[in-house]
Amino acid sequence: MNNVQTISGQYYFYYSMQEVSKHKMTSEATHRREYSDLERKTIFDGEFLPHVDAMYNFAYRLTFDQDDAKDLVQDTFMKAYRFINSFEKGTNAKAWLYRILKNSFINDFRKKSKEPGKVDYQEVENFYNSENVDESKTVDLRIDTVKDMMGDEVTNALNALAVDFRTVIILCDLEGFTYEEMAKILDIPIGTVRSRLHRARNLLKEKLKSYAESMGYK
Amino acid sequence: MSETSEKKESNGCAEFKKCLEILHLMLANEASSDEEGYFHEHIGNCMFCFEQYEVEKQIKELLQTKLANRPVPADLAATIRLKVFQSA
Repeated sequence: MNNVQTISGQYYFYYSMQEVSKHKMTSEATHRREYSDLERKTIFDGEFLPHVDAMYNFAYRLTFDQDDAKDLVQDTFMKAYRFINSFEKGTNAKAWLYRILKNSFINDFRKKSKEPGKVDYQEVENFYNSENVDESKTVDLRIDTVKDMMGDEVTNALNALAVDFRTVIILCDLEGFTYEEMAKILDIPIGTVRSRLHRARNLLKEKLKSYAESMGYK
Repeated sequence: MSETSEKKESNGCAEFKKCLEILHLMLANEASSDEEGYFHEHIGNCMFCFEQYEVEKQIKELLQTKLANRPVPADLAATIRLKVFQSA
């Protein structure tokens, strides 16, 4: 928890809960089934490895670096195999792997990354400090402004979001996960998925609006 | 809050809160067909909600276009498999 001393207690609580969840997964592993070596290999090859391309892209969108993405995916598959007894074969392997990858990124990888993500802690702090996100709020961004953009502005704005907000947009808009799947991957209630996604979309539009204003768009 | 001030805050749309909720469900492909039907009928008469819909749709399309999948290192799956089974 390198960064927690400089940010709010609420943020610390959030990441503490992530740690609890990690321990919960480990604990679940000790109480689940025991696959044979052949079953492990069959599950790994048949249910895990087919997702390697999607995992690499998700990892790249979190790390912005090819080597880091590769390391993160390798680390994820190593953990997946180690804790394979906590996976029920035939269920949603992709969501299960994404959850491991996301936790690896948050808990382990970001600390030792060559270039840690530039995180706007204020954004995250504001979100976790507000008890209720006002879901009736939106950002006044005009369609003509968005249509003038070539796309790089949008990806830059996404990449500038704090990882919690970036992740939820990636999982929803690029990976096509359902609310229920996202709740499992992120280990948060569905209501929190909805409010975080809503906030993330508004933050994205705020960044685009600032960009448009700085470029002199209307 | 009076009806007039509610309308003013939501740029003239009295149903804005409901519309925004449905719009977000639609963006996540979680809206029911009834909700989608309601929304599409509504934006036929509400310029403000139509604009919100177009902005969100355009941003999502730009993200999907610009963040298209990257080429994955050819040996990645084989390397992972080798490492995992060697360490087992």
